[in-house]
Amino acid sequence: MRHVDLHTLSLRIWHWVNTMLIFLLILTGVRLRIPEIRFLFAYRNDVLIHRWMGLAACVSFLFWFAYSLASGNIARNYAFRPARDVKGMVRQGLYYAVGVFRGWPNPYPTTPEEKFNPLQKVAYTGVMFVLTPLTGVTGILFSNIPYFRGIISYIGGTRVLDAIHVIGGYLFVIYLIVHVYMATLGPTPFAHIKAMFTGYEEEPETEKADP
Amino acid sequence: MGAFLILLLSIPATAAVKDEECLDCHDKLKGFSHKGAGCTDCHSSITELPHGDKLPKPDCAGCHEKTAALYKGDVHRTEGLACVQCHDVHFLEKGRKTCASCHGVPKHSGLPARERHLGSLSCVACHGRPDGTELRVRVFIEGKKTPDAGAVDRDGNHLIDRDEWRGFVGLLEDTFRGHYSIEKRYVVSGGLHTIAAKPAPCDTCHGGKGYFSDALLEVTGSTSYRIPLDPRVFIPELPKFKDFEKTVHGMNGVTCVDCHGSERKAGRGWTIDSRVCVKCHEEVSEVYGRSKHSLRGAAQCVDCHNPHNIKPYRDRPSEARVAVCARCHRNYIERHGWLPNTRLHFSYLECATCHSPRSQKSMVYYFAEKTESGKTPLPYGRLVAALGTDPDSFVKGDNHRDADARIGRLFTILRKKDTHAIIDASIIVTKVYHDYSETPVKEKGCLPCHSGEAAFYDSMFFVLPEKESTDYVPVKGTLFSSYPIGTFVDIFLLGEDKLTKADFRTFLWLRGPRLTQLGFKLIDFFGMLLMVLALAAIGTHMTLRIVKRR
Repeated sequence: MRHVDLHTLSLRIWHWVNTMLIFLLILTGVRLRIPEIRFLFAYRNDVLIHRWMGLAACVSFLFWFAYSLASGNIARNYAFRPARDVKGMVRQGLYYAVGVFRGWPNPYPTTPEEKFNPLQKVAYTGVMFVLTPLTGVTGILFSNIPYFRGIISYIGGTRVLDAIHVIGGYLFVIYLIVHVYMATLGPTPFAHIKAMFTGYEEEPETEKADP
Repeated sequence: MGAFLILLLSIPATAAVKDEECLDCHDKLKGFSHKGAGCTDCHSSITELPHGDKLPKPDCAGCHEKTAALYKGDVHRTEGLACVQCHDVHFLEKGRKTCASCHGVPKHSGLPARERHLGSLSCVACHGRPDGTELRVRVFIEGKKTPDAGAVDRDGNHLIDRDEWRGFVGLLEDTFRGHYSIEKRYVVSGGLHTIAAKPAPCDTCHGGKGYFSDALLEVTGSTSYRIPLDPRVFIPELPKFKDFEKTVHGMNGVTCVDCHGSERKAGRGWTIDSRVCVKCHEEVSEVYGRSKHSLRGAAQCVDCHNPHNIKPYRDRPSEARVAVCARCHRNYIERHGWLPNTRLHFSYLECATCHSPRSQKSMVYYFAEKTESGKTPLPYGRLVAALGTDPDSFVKGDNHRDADARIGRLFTILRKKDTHAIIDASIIVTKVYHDYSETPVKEKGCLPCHSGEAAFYDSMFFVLPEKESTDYVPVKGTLFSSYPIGTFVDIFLLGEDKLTKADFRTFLWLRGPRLTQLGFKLIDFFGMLLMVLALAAIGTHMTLRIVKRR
């Protein structure tokens, strides 16, 4: 068994802070969309929590972006190389669909140099560079409609803005469902989750893991 | 020695005649009593016996100087009545006369609430000029723990108002029935010697700051306390007649006796009830009669409307309209905690907007200016000053354009003179349907307003202030799309969608509108569908992993 260092402390803290923010955003977001259901808080507080947690999530995203840019995380893990990655997506898809059950080795094991397999690369690029900014920006516009009314009118009004934000929200939830499940596809069901706390994974010399 | 001589000279010479000597002849006066005064104290001209045949009348003012001074202005004095015609001066206690001794029981046929007034007040309250008045309301509670003062003075302002008194009486009825009694005392002191030719005007008591303006509630029981009381709880304030002329009733020529007189004929005293209002407001009464408010006996017309101060409904600001309902539904803000921007909604809207779906709702535009406290409608004077003419006649005088264009032109002129002027808009109920129970209390629909289908788009007015009232000019609203109207931004009339339980039933094909009618809510349908599919796929994958032990 060897220790494979995967996640720096900064990224791990960012990940779990983000987890908490997104959990609260989903919880309060559901309430904002469906006012009839009741959670812990009053509707008014849900609005406030959603607003402030949303802004915090935006700050968190900016931190990630700056950190990833500076540390080379984006260039290393997110850069899509079509010649290699298109084929790799098919291979990785086959692995998830068939290989997992037959004991095939993971074609793209997690390494400190390349943490994401081609499918993850596409998914995370979509989430971090399209979904998160889109949901964040529409959320910021919602946070002060009178102030941003010019932009909102240009987009097509509050209903369109709302539609974009809500579509972003649903896609995020679906992504999270898959993300959490995928986290159990490591060498052991909790290996990846544990790694997000400790920073490393224990890996047999001959076996490869999947994030 | 000198001092002794002065004292000796100051002793009245009449002291020489003793009372017993007088009573030897005037035996009918044996046992007379005038607070210790002797015969010659009043009959001071008698210095020796026997006295002369004709004696001067005693001068009461010699002792009763203050009373005599007051009596100078009394109508009885003007009519020539002397003290002895009311007071038996030899037997003060036995011979005291009352007003009724001479006047009997006057009919007072012109007196409103005759029995109540005559039963509570002494004659001098109205006919004299009393030295002091007190209203004491005493509540005695026996056999049970007295409610705290906080349960009576609910707003804690140390003054019991009408609602708090009603609440207290309700509490007494609910919790202390058979264990409590209420005593009201209108105490009037003095005034017997200042009887005027005309009774005091009604507003002496019913004017807010006259007699009985200091009133007190005393609660006596296991604990006792006193709280000042608003006298208007028991002594209703009379309308100010100058203002009454400006009310709907006043403008339509309704006089006091149209309501009060007819009611008196019905033999119900002067307390107005809804039967009086029905005479003119038949249609409204019929609608209201079917509503839950009426069926449960919650409120009569005058509980919500003050007939002496009634204004056209649409001339009242939304706060005043909400205040009508808030008199009973006090916790309306808490009850609407689910409503986003609760206070903002209530600053724009009244209860009837949602709770009376059949009320006519209109979009109204008006000239306004932005102030620190928000947007304030421009008053008549400002418009006249800027335009140099009456705005209403300006609009009506131009027959070559439609109303929207005329108001647009007016606004262009106004902006040149008054650069702060803007056009603002609001949603108000312009015709009330008096059934507020048609919308289920738990229904939380946003779309009646926040949708392009909202009814008020079919009923638009421009409100032009006039000298004493306002004029509602029907408009199409088309022109105003060229002007920045803050309300469309502030109210988000075409705002975002919210999901309801009915939508979920539609999603599940149970009932409700067709799926295709849901518009933007289809996002939720597909979003939830994708979530379910993702969970199903993961569930299948996980099951296979477990089966294959991977």
